[in-house]
Amino acid sequence: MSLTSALGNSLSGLRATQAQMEVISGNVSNAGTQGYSRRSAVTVETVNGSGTGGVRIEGIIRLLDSVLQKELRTETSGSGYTAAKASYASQLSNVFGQPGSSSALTSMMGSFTNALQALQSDPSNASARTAALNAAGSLARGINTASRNIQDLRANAESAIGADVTRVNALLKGIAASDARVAATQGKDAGLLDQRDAQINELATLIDVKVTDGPFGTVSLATGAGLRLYDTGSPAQFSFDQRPMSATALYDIDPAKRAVGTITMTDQSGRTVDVLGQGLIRSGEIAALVEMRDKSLVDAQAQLDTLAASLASAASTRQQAGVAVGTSGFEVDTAGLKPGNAITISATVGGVARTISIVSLTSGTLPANATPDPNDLEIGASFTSGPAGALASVQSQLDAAFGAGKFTVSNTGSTLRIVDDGAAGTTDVTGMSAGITATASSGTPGSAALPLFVDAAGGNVAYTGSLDGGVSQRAGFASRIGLNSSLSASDLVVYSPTTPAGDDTRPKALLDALTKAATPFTAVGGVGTTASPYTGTVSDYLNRIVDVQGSNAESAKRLDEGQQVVQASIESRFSETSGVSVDQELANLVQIQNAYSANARIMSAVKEMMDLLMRM
Amino acid sequence: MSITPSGYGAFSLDTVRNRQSTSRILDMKASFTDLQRQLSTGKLSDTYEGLGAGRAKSLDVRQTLTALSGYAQTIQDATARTGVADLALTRMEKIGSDLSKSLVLSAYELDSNGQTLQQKAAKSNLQETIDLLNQDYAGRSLFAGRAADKKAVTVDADTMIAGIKAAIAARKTNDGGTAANPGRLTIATAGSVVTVTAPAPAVAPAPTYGLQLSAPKSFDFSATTPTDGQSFSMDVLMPDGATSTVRVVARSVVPSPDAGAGEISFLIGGSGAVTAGAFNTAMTSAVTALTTSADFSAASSVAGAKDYFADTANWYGGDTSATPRASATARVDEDQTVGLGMEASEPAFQNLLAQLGVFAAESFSTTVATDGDRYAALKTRVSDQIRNPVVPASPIAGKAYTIQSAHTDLALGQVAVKEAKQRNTDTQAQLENALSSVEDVTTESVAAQLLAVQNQLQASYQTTSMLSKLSLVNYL
Repeated sequence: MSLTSALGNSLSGLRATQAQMEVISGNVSNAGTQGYSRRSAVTVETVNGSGTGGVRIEGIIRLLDSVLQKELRTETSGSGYTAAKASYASQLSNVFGQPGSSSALTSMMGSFTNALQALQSDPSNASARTAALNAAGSLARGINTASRNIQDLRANAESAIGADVTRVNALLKGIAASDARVAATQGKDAGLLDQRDAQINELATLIDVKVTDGPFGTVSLATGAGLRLYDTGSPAQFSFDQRPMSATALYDIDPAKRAVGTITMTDQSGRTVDVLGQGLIRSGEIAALVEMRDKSLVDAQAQLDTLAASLASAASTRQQAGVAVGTSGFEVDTAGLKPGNAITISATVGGVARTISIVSLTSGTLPANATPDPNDLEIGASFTSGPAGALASVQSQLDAAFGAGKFTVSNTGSTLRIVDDGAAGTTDVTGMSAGITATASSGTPGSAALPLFVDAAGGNVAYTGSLDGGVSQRAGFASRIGLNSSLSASDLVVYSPTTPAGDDTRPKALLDALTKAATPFTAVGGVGTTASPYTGTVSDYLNRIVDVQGSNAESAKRLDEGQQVVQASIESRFSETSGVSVDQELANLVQIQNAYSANARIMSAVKEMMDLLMRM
Repeated sequence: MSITPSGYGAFSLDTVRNRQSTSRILDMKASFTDLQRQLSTGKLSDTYEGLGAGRAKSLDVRQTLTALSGYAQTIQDATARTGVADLALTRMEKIGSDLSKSLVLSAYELDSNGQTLQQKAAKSNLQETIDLLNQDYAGRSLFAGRAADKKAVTVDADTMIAGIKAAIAARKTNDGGTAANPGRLTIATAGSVVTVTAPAPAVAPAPTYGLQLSAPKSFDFSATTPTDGQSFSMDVLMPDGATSTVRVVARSVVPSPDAGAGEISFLIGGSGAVTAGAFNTAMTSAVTALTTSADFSAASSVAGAKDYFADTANWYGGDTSATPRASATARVDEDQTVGLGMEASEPAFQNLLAQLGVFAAESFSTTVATDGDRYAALKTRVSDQIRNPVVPASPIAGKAYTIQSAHTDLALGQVAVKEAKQRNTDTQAQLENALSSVEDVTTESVAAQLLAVQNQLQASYQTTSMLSKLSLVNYL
């Protein structure tokens, strides 16, 4: 031991405390910096041959709980997902207006039914007629507006996806650059690690990220579903082909049919993958946006379409009753049957009641569940040349379903007849009717059905629910429904040249069709199921839509609130380890100051001792 | 209440704590603002999202309330409408009863036009009845059925009387028939059988003139020889549908010493054929006597009036339906529709118009000796038919044959409307309560919550401010 080595020790002590001081000042100055994790200087004893040779700083480390960090990233993705979903669901629910507001869709429906009530009690009143026509127009425009708002939301989601993809690309490039530097410094530089982690954390809000640690502090990134995002030196790059939005623009895995944008990944070898089609993104903001664009908002549009279709059909469908033919069959006049109109036959087959729906289909194949009835046998046949042209097709499909000889169809002019197997008694036709869309306000046969609402996209095109050529007329109908511009107010009452002015037949039929006739609705977006469709009036159906969308928004909000609490609590725990606490730093500062003074004191003591020696 | 975490990054403990406490305070502030909104609007939420479990109830209750408000409008309208119709029907009943009362005391005193005071009164009553039938409520004709925009009666009293006169004249010309066919009946003898037949009825609205028989009537003298004093009668329908009886008596000596006043008899012959011949002659005279009676003349006049009214095109501008009540309906509840329609072409109104019309149309002359009887017969007929209108054996269901029955229908409708109103008011009150329970907030509970949040917020502000001062920085 010598004074010199004591001097050396205290000198190393001073150096160490200065370094620690630097760390503390760095911590304090970065107390508010995003992504900064608390640093600590690691001191080790310097050992030489004869014992302690002082202290040295081995390195500056990040105080980080990597398990919590992983958890935090998962929850960050979750939060990104729930926040975007809650925001969009809330906006979607607001499309239907405020409770009790006159601009709410339910209020417009109420105004229309009220106007029809007034018209029923006073059919000859010109102002009651005009009021009913205006209310019908307002309702149609209300549905158009709701449809447009839903498509605006989809367009917002579409452009948000585009912006997010651009950000993902930038982040992945940034992560690649940081990771390269981290590798170069063997993962020792806390600042570089922080910089890279901050970018990964931001990425986690957009996409679900799974981080795998590699050698030399490097990482590789993938999504939960296994989509590779980043491997050393090669960040994945995505592209998004944003498209203009409309009610009929839908996602399809087939690029030829796809009418909205999709996220495409091009890897190093130039191979492209449709990321959305493969379902490779499952959380984060992008997943929520895609879900809204392709599912929730599409469902809401389909619900509105179903509403609009039911509204138009309720007013315009004339039920042509069937007539019994002897004891073994029925016949119905199909004159005026339009594509999409259906002839419904009730029958018992082997003692079991069955419904057979013959849907007029000019071209293409009949899609599954063409009618809301889940249990009927659906047959598509072309009636372009009347029942005569449809016979062969209907007969062969009936034979295929029930066996030959069970039912026989025939026709006389426009009348379609179906007879059962007669004396054999295994099949029995019990009823028949046809729902025919009226296309004129009056005509033969005079009926209360009125084409009040039409498909206004191509002028006053009748809404018949056509499924021709694989295109459902219902798709996007909410955006096209309009008041039949060829109608005048008097058409709401007058259905034949001899209709008296005070005849309430038509107003009553319209009102009953909207508020009394319970019909099944095609299941979509949580209103009813395919096996058990929602059955109610058109007004009831609108209420269910608003209810379901309100409920969706509410549960999305609850989910988001829960998720934010979870994330906040993990964030707190994480920060307890890795976050800067100024109090703690200052407490350390006092300690360092003392250590510095003590080291300095030793130096001055050594000097005094040296001086003493020199004076001898 | 949510705690907004950072999007990403910022893991500084102080920053995190600071931010989290700030976001808690902001959340409290937001709920404070929301409570304030609740207090000022009285509504739990201004979005369907915020209504929570009560959402479906709110939607359905609102739908029902909207429908109820529609029914309330209809009820209000129906009440006013029935009020007007009620007054009109009350007045029509009074016109009828007043006329029939005054006819009892009516004296045969003619003015220069050959009419009595009551006949002139009948004319003004006819005009009043026409006006009553043409009454409208809020632009809707009350007695025109579904043709609510049309006048029920298209002509005035003068035109109507002129039309009735022409129809009566046609009756007078045709009803009597010829000497061989009195009352247009055919009385034919074949051997010892006399058969009386009436011509086939004309197709409506063309009038069927003359007498009618319910079935051809045969008198067979081949097997039995009538005894002295045996009477043979035949029921005939007068032109206006009333029943009358023609009677002839078999006598062994004509004129018989036993004959009653006005008796028409025939001689019992040696053979059936001879008796039949005599019977034919007597029956022809008996029918001729009937067709020249004052009663027949009155019946002919009444029938003339009916002819005029039978063709509704002559006077009725409204719509005729099988069920006049259903021609104007008030839907007072989802499943209850009250029929309030009336058609002037219903038998009850037609009858009143016809009786007034025929009475006002006829005129008499003091120089014609039989006119006194004719007047008496006419007034009896008119009085009878106003009090007890002829109801056919098989009346058409749904149509009123008397003003009273039309009035009863209306009164029943009024009661139904009134009951529905009460029922709907009760339902509405209950539904409004139900709606309030899911949509509204009580001021007390909001005020209490507001106070609690206010306390929390104040405490948070205070502790935050204290905590911010508590830093080692300040003590070194």
